[in-house]
Amino acid sequence: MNLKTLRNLAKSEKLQALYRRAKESNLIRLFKNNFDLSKIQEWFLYWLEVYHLLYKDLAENKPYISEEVIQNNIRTDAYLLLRASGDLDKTKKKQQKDIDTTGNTPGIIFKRK
Amino acid sequence: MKEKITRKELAEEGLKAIQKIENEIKMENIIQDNKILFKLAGKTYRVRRLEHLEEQELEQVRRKKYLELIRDDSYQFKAQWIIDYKKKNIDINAKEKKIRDISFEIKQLMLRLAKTSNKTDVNNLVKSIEKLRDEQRDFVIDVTEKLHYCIENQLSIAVHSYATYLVLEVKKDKEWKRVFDNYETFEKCEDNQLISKAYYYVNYLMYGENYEFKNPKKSR
Repeated sequence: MNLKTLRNLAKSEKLQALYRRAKESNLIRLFKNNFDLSKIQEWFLYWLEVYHLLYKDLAENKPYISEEVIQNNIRTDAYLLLRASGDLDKTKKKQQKDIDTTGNTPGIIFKRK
Repeated sequence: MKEKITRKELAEEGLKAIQKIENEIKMENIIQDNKILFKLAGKTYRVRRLEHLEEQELEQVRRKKYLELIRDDSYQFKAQWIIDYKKKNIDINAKEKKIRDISFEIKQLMLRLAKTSNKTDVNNLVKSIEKLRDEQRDFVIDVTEKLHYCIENQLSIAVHSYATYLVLEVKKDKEWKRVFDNYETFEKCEDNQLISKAYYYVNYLMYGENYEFKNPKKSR
């Protein structure tokens, strides 16, 4: 048992769904205890939130994120590092610049040659 | 012949999958509560979080142990060990710098990895990162082993050992009772399986996932 197992659990569909519901409703509990969390529980919550954000990024079609990245821990770490460095926002802004917003037709992307 | 290899591979894959599921079930049990239960030789044990008074008791133990260690001339601080090692041409500072340098190298490769989806590039970068992580791990193990007897490390081991004594309980007639009446009995206990399991689970409660597993019995 190690960090890999903890991360596998945190990214699993079952626990991500439970986490989403627990965030929305106080009636759903993740743990038997409500307070005085153990360190491993704190780490688990941290990874649940990380994967929650990653799946959100994926749904929002953010650059460099894919299901393959989420399923590979080293690639996930790499993406998180890029996300934290702010480089991801620069890429997003660049992509937004490429979108023509002057006309009435939304979302046309002009690719630069 | 080919079918046999395939079957063997399938069996290995199956075994890995079962192991993965078993590990996940064990981990689910560990995280479901701030107490961890385990069975050994027909008895049910648990380790739990420290209570407020126990935390105060542990602080006292830490203070007393620290005094005991600094008054004992056979113990040295980390910095003193580093000087002694230098005299024997072992440069701990250089090794620690190497660990930091590798971290920087890994970070650069990770940023490249994040921006590519080309399979060959991904595979090559992942391999390079894994190789560097292994190299870094070797340096970390080397430094940790060399500084095992420093006061800082011995203090943390002693405190962890005392904490384990405080929170290890056994179920008797539906009630939880401390396994050992006092710390001396705990220290003399020869049931290594029980003590190792207790240390292992206390690590999860107190340090989470990133704490390097230490068995205080080794340092006695």
